[in-house]
Amino acid sequence: MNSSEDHVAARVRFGLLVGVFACATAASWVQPRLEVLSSSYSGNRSVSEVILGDFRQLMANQFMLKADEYFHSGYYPSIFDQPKNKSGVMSEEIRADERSAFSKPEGKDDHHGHDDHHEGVHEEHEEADFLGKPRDFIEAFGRHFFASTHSHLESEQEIKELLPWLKLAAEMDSTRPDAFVLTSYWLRKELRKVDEAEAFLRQGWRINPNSVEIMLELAKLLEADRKDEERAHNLYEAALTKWMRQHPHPTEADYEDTIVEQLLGRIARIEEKKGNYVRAELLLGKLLPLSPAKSEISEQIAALRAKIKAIPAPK
Amino acid sequence: MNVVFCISALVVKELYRRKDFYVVFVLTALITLMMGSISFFNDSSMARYLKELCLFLVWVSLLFISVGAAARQLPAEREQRTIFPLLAKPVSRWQLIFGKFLGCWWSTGLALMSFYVFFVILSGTREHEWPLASYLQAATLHWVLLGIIIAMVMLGSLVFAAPSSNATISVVSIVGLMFLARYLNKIALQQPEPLSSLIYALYFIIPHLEFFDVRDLIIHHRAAIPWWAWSVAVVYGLAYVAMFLGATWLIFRKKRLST
Repeated sequence: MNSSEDHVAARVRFGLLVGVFACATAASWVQPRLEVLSSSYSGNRSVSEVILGDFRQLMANQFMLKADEYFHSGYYPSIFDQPKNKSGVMSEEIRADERSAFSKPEGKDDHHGHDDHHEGVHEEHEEADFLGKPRDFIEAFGRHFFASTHSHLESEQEIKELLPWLKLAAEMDSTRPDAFVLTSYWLRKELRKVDEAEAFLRQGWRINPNSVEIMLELAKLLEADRKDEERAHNLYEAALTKWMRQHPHPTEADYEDTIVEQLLGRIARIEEKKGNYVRAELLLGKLLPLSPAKSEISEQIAALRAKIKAIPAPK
Repeated sequence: MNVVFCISALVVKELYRRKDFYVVFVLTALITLMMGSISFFNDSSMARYLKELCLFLVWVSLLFISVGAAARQLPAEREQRTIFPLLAKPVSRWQLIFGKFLGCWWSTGLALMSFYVFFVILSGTREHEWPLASYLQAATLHWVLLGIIIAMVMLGSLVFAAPSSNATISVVSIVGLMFLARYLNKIALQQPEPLSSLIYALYFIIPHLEFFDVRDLIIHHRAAIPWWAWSVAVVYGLAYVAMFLGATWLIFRKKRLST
């Protein structure tokens, strides 16, 4: 009895051993094939990329619009109200703010720039009155039931409310530099979350290495928030070089996005600080036809010329 | 009126024995709480996206609960032939219709109350603000809207052949009305005559369900609606309920009940 039990136990042990070997062999055969299969199926893509495909771009666009809608506290044109532009009034407002910063370092008050900004915003407010007068009593009455007056998010807590939509937009379509730039703008300027803004921008830059917009925003962050003018200068220069390469024969439309304006203005300012007046004057000369603040730039050019003249000639 | 209340109480009992509401409530709560646990840039104090998501889920859930409940009331009674002993009680046809409507409206009202209590607690704990007047207005307007939907679907259950087709057509129409009705006047002005006049006439005839959707106002902390406007909207909604129920009764009183 004992010997037969031992016999059975030995067989079971042998069977288990064979089973273990068989499993190990099967695993070593299956694993590399599965890896190849999964990489050919999804590559480095996330699950949502595999499932949603190009629909993600539409969603990203929708999330950007949603952030813009939140910025205006729900007062937002529908497709029937014919919005003024596709990029969204939030981006326009930021551009107006950036324009005002051409001739001054970020964070410092500049009366002229401030006025420019408010002028721009005022124009935008007038444009934003997309509802007009009600056409009939139903429309007039219906305006009590949706956000029908223009207002902006103002407090820090309110600005935070934009972030989920911007983050989702960037995650849905990471090839959109504007999602990274806008998010960084609000994070560093309004919420003072510089570390988060820099990490997010660098993540965007890794995905979009040719994006001049992201480079410009990162350089602004380094200059204004990290107080690292040298690295910011290098990045502005690199961004300008990249922009020149991307636009070998720039048209008027290329200048409309204000990127080159901002780059020229910021590099000129840093060059002036370093005492490179000739290069600063050259850059401001290029900026003059592009900028709306012509008189101010002309004055700066004149001041630079005076400084150049004051330099004693080498003996 | 007692007969009407008895019928409506039966409908309420039937609806709370079904599992639809519990499932959608748990799903809504789970999805909202999961989304609420996400932190954006090391900050989890954002509330508006969560309120928007929660209200969207509440709206979708209540739309399907109310359409599903209203669409099967009269056809189920006819199919199971329970309508004959019911009408032999004696219960008049208008009492049956009004009782069924009230039952559906009350039961969706109970569901709506549960959803809004969850929503108010959620937004209050996130934002530390309690604009109860706005929430009350939003919930009551939503309830009136559900009344219009239920009356509309009950009318559809006598017009369309099957509850499934009625439910589908009703949902499509309601969503269309919600999104397009507000803009029909603008669309009309871009059309040539006589299409322009036709669309404009349609704009005045159709129920403007967008009056009852004030989600944007509570998401974006807008001021409460003036109470006179709220009252007019409620009366407007009840007038459409009465119209749809009247039309349902007119059809039902001549309807042959044997299948």
